[in-house]
Amino acid sequence: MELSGFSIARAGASPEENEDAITWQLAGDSGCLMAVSDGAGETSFARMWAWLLVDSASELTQPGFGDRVIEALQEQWCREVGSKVLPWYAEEKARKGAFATFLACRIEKTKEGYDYTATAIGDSCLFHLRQGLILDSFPLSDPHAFDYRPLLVGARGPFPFEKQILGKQGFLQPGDELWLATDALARGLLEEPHSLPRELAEIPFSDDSSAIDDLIQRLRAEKRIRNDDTSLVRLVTGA
Amino acid sequence: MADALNRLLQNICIKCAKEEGVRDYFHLGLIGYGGKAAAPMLGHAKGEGVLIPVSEVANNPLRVENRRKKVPDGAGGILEQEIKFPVWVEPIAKGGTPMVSALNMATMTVDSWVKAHPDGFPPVVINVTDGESTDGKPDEAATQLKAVGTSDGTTLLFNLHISSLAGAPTAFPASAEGLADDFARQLFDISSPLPPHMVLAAGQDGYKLESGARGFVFNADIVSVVRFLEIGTQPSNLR
Repeated sequence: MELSGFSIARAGASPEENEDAITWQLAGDSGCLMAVSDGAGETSFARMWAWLLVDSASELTQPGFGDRVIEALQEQWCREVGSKVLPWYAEEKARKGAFATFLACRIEKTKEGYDYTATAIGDSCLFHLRQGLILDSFPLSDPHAFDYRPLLVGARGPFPFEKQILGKQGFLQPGDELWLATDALARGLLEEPHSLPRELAEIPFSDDSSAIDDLIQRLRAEKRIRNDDTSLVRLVTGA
Repeated sequence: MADALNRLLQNICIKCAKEEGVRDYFHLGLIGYGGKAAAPMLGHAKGEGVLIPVSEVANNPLRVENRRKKVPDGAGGILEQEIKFPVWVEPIAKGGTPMVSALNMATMTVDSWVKAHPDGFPPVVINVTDGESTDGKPDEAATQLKAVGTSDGTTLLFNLHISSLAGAPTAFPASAEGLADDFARQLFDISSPLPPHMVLAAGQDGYKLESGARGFVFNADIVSVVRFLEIGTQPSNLR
């Protein structure tokens, strides 16, 4: 299994203003965990919240533990934000809390291939690819389904995580790929399912890669993807 | 009126606020015309023009009041929360309503802005009034204002009539049919249609809109005012 990814701030923003968070962890040869989170730009300290979520992806994807983990993360977020001295507008903004999507996927190697279990809140999407073509996507499959108010998990207030998540299980054949993308790229992949995956797959994924940066800037300039923080985590399974 | 305007300005500042400060997504201007002539009401003390960056608005209220607000405690009860309430606009004694002068000043203001930002999001002008124009019919001045534009479109003019009389507000109608009087019809006629992302925002706020709905509310109470102003300043790309 090979894991890679990139996360590029929207055009006009610094890397520190990127409110997407991504992570991946290999568990030897037996499996891995991938996660992305997209902080809502209209909330503050959303970057902090998105990173808290992906850093806890392992705990959040354990059945039955999500609600307790969310409460603990909310307390941590409130503690860190509450320790800051803020001007009136930042104080009022922080009172509303931060929000983010959450998408994580556990992959386990089996004799025949790989089983995966995905957990999703919001419009960050998982894509199952074979030989460069998208076979399936989750939780959205229609590019028109993206709107300005997806369900998000908040840093304040009650959030019954276990009741709000969408889940999916699937199977990967050896050689298949799994991509997790935040909404700007997810929507682009659904709008151009035959061409965009191939363009992306030709370039090594890495934040240090100027080639991927150039491609993302070109896609934005051509209005093939929205100008927003753009992130992708890619799993290539062994053939 | 003053309270509604202060709340709008507060909401815009909070909308643009991030942990590091206020992002200048907008330039804001406030033209008051409750006396004999129209005059800018923000930033003018520093010798600036009508429009100033939103960060400057956020950092320079006349004062910040501490007020108490009742909020649900999540357990069926109510608790009082202390909030910051910045004030930029003080109530003024009612004089005339030189709406044509105000619209002309708005035209000069947006004309300068579009020359400096030829590819920017088109200006949005929100006319808030509690009475008919006392310096002539506003039709021609409104037409000139709406003719000013950027490569992204022409200026949008929305009209909001506030009334202290009891009665249901008329919000975002698609035609003048059913409007109570000539004053209402006059304001409707000079109002721009809502662009698609604002129609979406209004729909998500509970309004059921017909095709061709205009940015116009008549006989609004304070709640409708703030909702209207939020929708009318909904950006298309702030996520």
